[in-house]
Amino acid sequence: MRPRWPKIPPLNIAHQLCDLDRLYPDGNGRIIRDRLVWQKKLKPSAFSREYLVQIDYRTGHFPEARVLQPTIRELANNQKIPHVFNDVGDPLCLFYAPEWNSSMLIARTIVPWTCEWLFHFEAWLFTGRWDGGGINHDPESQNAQMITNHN
Amino acid sequence: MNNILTRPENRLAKTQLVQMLDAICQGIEPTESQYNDAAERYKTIGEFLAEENSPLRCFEPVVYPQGSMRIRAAIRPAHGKEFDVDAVCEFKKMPHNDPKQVKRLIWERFHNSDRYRDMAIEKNRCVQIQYAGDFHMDVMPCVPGQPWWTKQGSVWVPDKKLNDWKPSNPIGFAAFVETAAAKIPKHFIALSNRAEAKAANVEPLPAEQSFTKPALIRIIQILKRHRDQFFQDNHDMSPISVIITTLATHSYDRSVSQNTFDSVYDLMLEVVGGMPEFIKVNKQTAQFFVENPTHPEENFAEKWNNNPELPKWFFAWHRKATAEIKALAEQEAQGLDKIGTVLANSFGSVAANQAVRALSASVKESTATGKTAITTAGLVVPVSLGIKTASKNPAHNFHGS
Repeated sequence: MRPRWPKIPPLNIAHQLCDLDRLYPDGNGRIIRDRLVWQKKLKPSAFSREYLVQIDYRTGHFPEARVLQPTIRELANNQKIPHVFNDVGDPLCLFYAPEWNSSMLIARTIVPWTCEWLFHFEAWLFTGRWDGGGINHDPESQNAQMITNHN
Repeated sequence: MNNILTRPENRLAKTQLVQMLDAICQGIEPTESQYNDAAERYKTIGEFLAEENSPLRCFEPVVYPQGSMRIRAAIRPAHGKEFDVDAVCEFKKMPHNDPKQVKRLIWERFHNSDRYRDMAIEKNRCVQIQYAGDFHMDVMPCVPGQPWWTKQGSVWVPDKKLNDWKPSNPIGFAAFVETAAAKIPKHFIALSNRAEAKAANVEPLPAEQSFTKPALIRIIQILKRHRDQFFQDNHDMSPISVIITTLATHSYDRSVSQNTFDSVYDLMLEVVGGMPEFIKVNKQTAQFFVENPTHPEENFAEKWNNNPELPKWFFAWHRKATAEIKALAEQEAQGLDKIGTVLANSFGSVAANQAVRALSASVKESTATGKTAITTAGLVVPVSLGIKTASKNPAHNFHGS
């Protein structure tokens, strides 16, 4: 079935930030014109490191999550990390495009998915296998991240 | 130690450790179908020995498992693929008074058959049957217990030097372990209201926070695996499984009878820590005694009294195992990859790999069915743990290659 965009109007970024602040009071977010930038330290398991993560979001785009600290490339010893986009700062591939739209709250989708990504990433560092599931896309369609207009 | 309200992180860590240790056990134990194959083979061998034209038929042989196969605590040796399966062939009627002759009878039966000739190897006390791939089976003959021997299931087995009979009780020993293993650990619920807590502080630990097999059996497997790893280059000093099994069973029995636990992990710590208390030491002679629970006169640790290196190594191993299992939950938060390395040191790298993969896969599966959530700190937790969470973790697919 072809994905259909919901009829619900997109949530504006102020609403998104408000929900982030409510769920994660120690997160750090700000709005710069039409852009939301939110940072928080996340620790995906009791045995895990803390990661400083940044989420960038502009209305009409998909949110992007990146790990600022520690550098995941260094942790990975320069091995190819699974489920990251080939872009500046290695944005994480958290979802299959139809699974997210702008009527969804970042705090309840992108943030938990980032935590889960980090969990499987740490396991991958040890086992060399990605056991977190997902869809492997072919290199041709790498621009799944491209701008989509939901309106 | 059991009545402290643990932080969610601590509870999560212990649950996930139990999950990882369970995965280690699953990776090194016989599969259900291997257990079934083994059972099929006891039956086939039993039938073969009791066939119409078999000279042993009149002695009514019955073949059944003993030891770790019987209590389902078997594990693969650290550097081998084959399981050692111990079986006994009990003759209901005494074929001969001389153990050598009884051993010879059974060996000849195998050796003279087209079917088993190439599979059978004569060993000191038993006949070993080699099955392609999975396991080999040691079939040890035994004869009925003497009249004064009243315990159920008791038999006589040929002594190591085969010049006498030694009492044994494979069924009774398994029953000793199984009776204890069937006792379910109780859970301490911390409630704000003291009266309420008193009334309701014991209930079984939630299944999803437990091992997939009885905790005692898992603890025995974990200890045996740790021992195999610890003594891999020093095999002669390795404590025999029956000592580990006996001490762990006594300790488990005491722990579940006397205490309540916040987690299966806490139970495991107490059981492991308490094991040496069930070794008796004679104050005059400084002799060690680990009593066979089905035959109080038999000392499983008999060899310790002839070679002081043996108890020394046992205690060195036990201290290390206790410390390492305890340290697992006290890791400074350094990464799942780091806990993998710690597990690899204790249990081997293949086992550690299995453990971390299983944990990752279990989070994936739970998420797919909407059973994980995250806390404000970002911890991915199973909803069933009842930890306060900030958001659900909706099902999704990681994209990209």
